[in-house]
Amino acid sequence: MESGIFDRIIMQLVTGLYWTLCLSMAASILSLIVGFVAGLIKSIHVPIITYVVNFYTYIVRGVPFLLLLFIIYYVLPFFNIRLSPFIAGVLSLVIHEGAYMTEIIRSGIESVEKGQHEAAHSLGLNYFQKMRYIILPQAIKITLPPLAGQFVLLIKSTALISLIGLTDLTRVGRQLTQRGENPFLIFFIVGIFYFVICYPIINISDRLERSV
Amino acid sequence: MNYFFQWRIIEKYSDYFYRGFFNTLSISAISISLALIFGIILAILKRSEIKGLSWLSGGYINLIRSTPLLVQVYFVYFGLPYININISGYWCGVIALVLNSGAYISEIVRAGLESIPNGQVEAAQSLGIDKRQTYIYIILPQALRKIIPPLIGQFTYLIKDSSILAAIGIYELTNTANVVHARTFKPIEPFVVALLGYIIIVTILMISANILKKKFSLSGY
Repeated sequence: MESGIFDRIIMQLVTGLYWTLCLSMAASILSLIVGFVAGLIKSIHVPIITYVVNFYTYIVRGVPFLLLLFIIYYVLPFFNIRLSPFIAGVLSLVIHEGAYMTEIIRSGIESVEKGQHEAAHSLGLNYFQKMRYIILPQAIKITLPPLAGQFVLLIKSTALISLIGLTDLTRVGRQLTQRGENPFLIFFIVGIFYFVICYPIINISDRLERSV
Repeated sequence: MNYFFQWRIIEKYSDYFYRGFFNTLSISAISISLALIFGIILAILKRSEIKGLSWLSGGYINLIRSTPLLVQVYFVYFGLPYININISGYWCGVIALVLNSGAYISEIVRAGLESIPNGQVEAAQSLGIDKRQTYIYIILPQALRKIIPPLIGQFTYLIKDSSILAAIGIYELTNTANVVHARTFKPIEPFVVALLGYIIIVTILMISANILKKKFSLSGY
């Protein structure tokens, strides 16, 4: 029995791990882009667009991720937009995590001293030059630790997409227990898989935070 | 798009929504109180001078922070019956939330405790106050001031996290919306109700956090 544990459990879980990783990668990159653009907009106060972005971050941060996922997966088909669980998962992760990343990036930009903005202006730099050479290099240092923490939350949120039918790590674990495997063992191993992915990122985030 | 929002559905299933709203609030309230106690214990263990205890507490916190809540919920909900401990789904949910939130709260508490300057402890020592009394009368009252605003933040996270208990069939707000959707085949109305429910709770907590933050902030700190 012990010899079969590898084929029976570990190999199955690795196939689930593949989907968890795909989902995390796609959602991380896209939500970082959303957060970056929306964070920039929020920091420069364009009248109407800033209100729209404020409304977006306010609503999304007040809503549980699972509810958002259900809304996207169940309400959109009502308007004849059918999404696969994977696409629905990526979309809801990007909307959800994008809002948090917006706040992180905005606070990073705003934490750079006002004098730096004024100095850049007085040197005759335009907005893009100012951001590229003065503000962002300083802001990145501050935003990196919370951003890494947010990536960990994103990876952990992917587990919920198993509830709409994507066979990710958590769902494979659930299926194995339905076949009568020991749930303690299975979910412990599933936990170890997530731990191996997330703990290094948490560790880096903690270290960066201490060094800032 | 000519779609009419059908209030009748909400009216017809209003009992469901009340129950869902109440369950979300009660699970969250019970869990946050227990998690606060658990979190304080974890934080004190982590600061303890006995290496084994602080290592154990730190390991636990890292393990919880690195794994999804859904896996922890499954671990409790499917694991406990396997070793012949049968408790209702509601309390399995509470246990999982307490185990999870306790780890995060302990980090908040620890940051609060560490923000108290060492001079306070030394002053207490020189006055002949013992360690336990130092904690209770000197450190904790000062730390609490700093802990309360982030603690309310954690409470909002916990309320949102309680939606995950839909996965084990507890009728909280998210699951209620899902059930009403399954019965009526109308997704918009129930999900809008759930959405507004969460936003109302979170907004109230955010406002109260801001008020408390102003009330507890001292000049010079």
